Amino acid sequence: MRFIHCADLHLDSRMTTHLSGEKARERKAELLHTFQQMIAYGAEHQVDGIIIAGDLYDTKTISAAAANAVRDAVLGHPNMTFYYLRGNHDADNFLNRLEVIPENLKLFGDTWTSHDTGRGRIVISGVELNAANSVSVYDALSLNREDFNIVVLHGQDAEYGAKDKAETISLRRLRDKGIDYLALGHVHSYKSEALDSRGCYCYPGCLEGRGFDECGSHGFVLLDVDEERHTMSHTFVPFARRNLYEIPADVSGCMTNGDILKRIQAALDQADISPRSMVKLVLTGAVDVECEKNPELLAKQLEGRFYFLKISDETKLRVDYQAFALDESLKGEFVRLVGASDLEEQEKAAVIRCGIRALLGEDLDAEEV
Amino acid sequence: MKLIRCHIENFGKFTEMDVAFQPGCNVICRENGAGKSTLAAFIRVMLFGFDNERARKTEDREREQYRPWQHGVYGGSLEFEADGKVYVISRTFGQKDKDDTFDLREKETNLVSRDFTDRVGEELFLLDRDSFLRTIFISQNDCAARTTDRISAKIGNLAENTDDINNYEAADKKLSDLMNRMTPSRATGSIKKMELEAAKRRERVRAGSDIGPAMDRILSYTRELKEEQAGLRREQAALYEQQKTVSRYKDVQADKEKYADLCRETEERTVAAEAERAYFPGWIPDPEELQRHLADSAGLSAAEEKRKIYQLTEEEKYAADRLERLFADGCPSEEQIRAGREGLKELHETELLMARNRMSREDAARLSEYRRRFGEAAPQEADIRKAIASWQERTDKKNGLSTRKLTLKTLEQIAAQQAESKKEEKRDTGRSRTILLFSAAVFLVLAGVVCIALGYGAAGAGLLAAGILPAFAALILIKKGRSAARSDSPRSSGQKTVPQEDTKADSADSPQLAQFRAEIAGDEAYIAETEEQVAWFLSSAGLNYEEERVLDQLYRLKAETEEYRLLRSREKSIREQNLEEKKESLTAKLRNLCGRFYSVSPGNENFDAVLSRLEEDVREYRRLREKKDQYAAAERLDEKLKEGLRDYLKALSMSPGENLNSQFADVRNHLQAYQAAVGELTRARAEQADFEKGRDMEKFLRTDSGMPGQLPSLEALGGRLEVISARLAEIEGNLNDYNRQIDDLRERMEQTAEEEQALADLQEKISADRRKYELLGKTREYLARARESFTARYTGPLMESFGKYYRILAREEAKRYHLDANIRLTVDELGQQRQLHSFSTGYQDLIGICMRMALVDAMYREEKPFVIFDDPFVNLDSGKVAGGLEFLDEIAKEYQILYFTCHESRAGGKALSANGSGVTGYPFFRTAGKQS
Repeated sequence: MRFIHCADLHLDSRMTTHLSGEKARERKAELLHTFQQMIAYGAEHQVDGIIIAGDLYDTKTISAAAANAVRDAVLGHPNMTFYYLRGNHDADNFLNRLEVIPENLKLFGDTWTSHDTGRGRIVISGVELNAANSVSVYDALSLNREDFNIVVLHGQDAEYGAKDKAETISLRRLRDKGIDYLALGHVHSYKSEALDSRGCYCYPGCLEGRGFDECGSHGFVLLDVDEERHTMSHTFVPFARRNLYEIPADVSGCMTNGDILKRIQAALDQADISPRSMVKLVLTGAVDVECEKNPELLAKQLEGRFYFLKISDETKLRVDYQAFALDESLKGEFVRLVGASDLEEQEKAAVIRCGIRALLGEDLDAEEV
Repeated sequence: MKLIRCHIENFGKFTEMDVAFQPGCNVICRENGAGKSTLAAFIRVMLFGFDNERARKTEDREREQYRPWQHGVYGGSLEFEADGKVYVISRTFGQKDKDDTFDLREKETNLVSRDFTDRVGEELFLLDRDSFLRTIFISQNDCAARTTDRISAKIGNLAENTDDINNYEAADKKLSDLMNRMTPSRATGSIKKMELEAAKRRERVRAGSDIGPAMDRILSYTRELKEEQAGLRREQAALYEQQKTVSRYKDVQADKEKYADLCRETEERTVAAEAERAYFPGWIPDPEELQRHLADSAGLSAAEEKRKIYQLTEEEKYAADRLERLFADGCPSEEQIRAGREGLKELHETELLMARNRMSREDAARLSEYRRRFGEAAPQEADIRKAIASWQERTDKKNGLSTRKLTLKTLEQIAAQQAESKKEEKRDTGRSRTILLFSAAVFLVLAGVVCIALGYGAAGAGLLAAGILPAFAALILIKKGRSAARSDSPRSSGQKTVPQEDTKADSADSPQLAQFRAEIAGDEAYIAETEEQVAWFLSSAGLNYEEERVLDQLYRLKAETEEYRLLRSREKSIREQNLEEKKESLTAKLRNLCGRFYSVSPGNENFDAVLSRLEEDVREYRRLREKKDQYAAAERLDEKLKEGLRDYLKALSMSPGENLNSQFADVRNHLQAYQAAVGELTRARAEQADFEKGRDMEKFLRTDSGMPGQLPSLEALGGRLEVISARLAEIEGNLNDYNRQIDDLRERMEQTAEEEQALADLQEKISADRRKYELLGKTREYLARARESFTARYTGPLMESFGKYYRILAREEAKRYHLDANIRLTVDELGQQRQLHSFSTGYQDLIGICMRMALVDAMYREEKPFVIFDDPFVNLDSGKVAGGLEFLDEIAKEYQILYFTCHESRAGGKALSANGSGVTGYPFFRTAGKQS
């Protein structure tokens, strides 16, 4: 049998953290579309079941479009069984919209629920963790070791669980339970490791990155289970429409915006990123306090190269106090004075930069300070 | 730098003036209005150009203030020494600065020098005009020392290296402006605005904070409703099951009842069919056959009806008998009657014709008379018309004949006279002839007019025509006479012949006359002939010729001949048509026809009425015969039908009744009823068989249709189901409402989330901008401190210089004075540092002078410039003035001084120094060729 293991889709997420207006709406729609594409992929590849390990939605209230998309996916693929474990972001609003729970939609509750696939003794079990059951679920888990057991949970993996954190999954307590595949959700990046000698656990990550804390490849995991031999292979399938990247660009030594732009372009060229991507460019390194640096202008110059680009200036200002030691001008006096103050180094550099620019007669606005 | 001399071409009140400057102190003591300030201004303008060039009012422009009233070149030259070289500046000033000229030459070579531009003052002193005026140029009532960045730069000796000190104020202003724009303290600041906006967003977020609980509530309601919905649906399903169970029992019961009904119906239908069958003692009539007989029975009615119609009334019977007798020998045919009618018509026509052609006695008498007169050949109408026309012409001619004769006579007389007078008096003037002719013309014309007036038109016309002739002749004679008169003279000599016109006139009269005569003769002949012809014509017509009544006679003859023709025609017509015989014949025929049936009295026959009567009788006879025939036919038919019907009834073993029609109708009704009953019976049996077909009837009959008592009735179930349906519908409506509310709340939550995000972004920006604001503040602070420490380097020396000059001028130590980094003096007074503006003008001037010179000392450490003092001691008391003069003496040791004053008391009566340098005690203005 074949399964798609996905989690943390966060459908209907607002996407406004970095995007605004039209782009945020577009991205939101893309999220939904990617989900639909995933289902289509499943249909195309004869997938028998879709395991959704939590956080299908982002909030407890969902739009009709999002609810209907999932409903239509379930109803439109009666030959695929959907195993839906609710996560900490999910609510029952989606299910509330259903007149009747379709036959091919299998749910889990706050106690262990097992669904026999009816083929090859492949059983999918799961429980929705909460404060009440987060400790007791491990002991309550009882699996038939003759079966191929897929267990679905949503939470943060940890060797030892924490009593005060319901989402923590104690891997230790799940070992040697006869689990062949622990289908997890909650962590937004792909991760797969051995659970015990029998099985493994896997986070498929989220289907689409939503912020720059979710850079890299995203998608789902395709499980292929041999019904007779009860062996399994799983593959991460990158499926996100857009990936997010955080690209550092060391601009140390640059004195002008032009120099910085060249460094940035070199860094981007080296990264070889698709224009469809969302990119966070981080300026690093140390630049002279008199360096002409305008992140806003830089962003404008790079506009259009990617779907979304933001520049984060994490450069440090460097002041060569020695160079001003014998400077008899007001500037020299100013630099020496600031250097001798008890301000923090970066603050000193910022004050010096500001003062010098003012003395040089450059136009000042709040963005450039 | 030293001034050597200047030449003023035209500047202010000065024209063609030269001034030579000495090293040391140059004292210029002149009364007010002599031009001291003008000279000082000239020097300044030569070095720095004019001030207030852009002033709106002309009078405010320095260029116009010093424009010379006397025209001529506006400008001059200034010779000075700098860096060991002597230069000459020459400037002229036009209406505007672009019209000005500037020339700089080295005095020694007289070559144009590029060492300085037209901004020579700035380049020489490294000061702008303002800075110059504040230091080197010390004028009365403007002694206060104020610094500029250039002064500070000069003091700091940094102008050559960098001008950041110059930009300090601008930099500070930029920072200050930016801080003002960002300030969190005022509503105009961007940080403040953001904070206000953040407050609004916060408020909106707060307002949206109730959405979550509201959402939870609605979700909770939704869950409850869903649960209730699920429960109701379960109950509904259970009730449906119960309903089915009850229905099953009900169905069984219903089936049994239905079967019972079917059986009952079958029985009833059987009884009904048998009852109907009983009506027919024998066999059941065939419907088609019965229908045919029914048609026959209907025919009875028709026959009866027909009999009624064609039954003769008593009167008709009587008439029929009469007519039978009348036409016992045969009824005349239509043809015979038509022939009779035609004959009658022809008879009437004949009689009419006869009546028309019949002549009266008078007509016959006239015909006879005419025959006697005219015989068989009466005059033709054409001949009569012709005679009438001839006579009319004759009459016209005759009427004109006398006149014409008269004319002829006159013409003959005239001709005779002419012939005689011509012989005797050829030379007689034609006047008498002319007069005669003219008189004749007049006479004839008058006669013609009279004739026309009297009705003799032809005669009148003839007279008028006749009158023209003599008139024409008279005119010819007049002309001849004139021409003769003209030719008389020659004629008398017998040299000329008679003019051709005269000869022609004479010969023309004769033919005319002859013709006239011929015409008259013709008329006479015509008249006579016509009279003769007409007389004969009338005579032949039996009329006597009477000249006066000829026309009447002719017309009368015309009428008579016409009448004669008509009478003869009528006579002929009667004769030719044989009308009498025809009449007789026709009468006989009619008599024959009518007499066969009616008595017709000869001579008194009214055939018209008889024929009419005959026609009527024939029509009536035929009608009645027809009617009788129809009646007989109807009777026969009736009998035939009845016989048939009776036979049929007997065949049906039924006794024929009196009213066969109704009896057959009855049979039909019963047959239909029987058929219907049989049909119903068949149907009932079929239904019953159908019901039994799918069932095990034994079992069915054994099955108990009673329902268990615990099951509710269908009505109760239905009622409860209705309630549940209503409640489910209500729940669905509520769920829809809740879903809508959820959608609304979700949208609001999204908006609130967006607000939260925006608020977070805004707060982040506010924090960042606050940090920037602080950064700007620190930058300003440190820049100010840098500037202070920077300028503090030279405040010490400044105070020292100040103290030196103050001692000289004020004759006391300057311990109470302090100088800040902005080169502003304050003085200790009553325990506090006071600003100078609190003190008297003289005091301020004194301090200002000292400070000015201290600044000059600090600014020019090596090469010393000239210094202009324009009566600076005017506000000092006499003691201080003395000190001022000593002050000048001291300065003159290092600087070239130009000291202007308007009072001797401030000029100094004695030399202030023993070395003769510096102050001169007398004025030295020199104009061209003069020295004052």
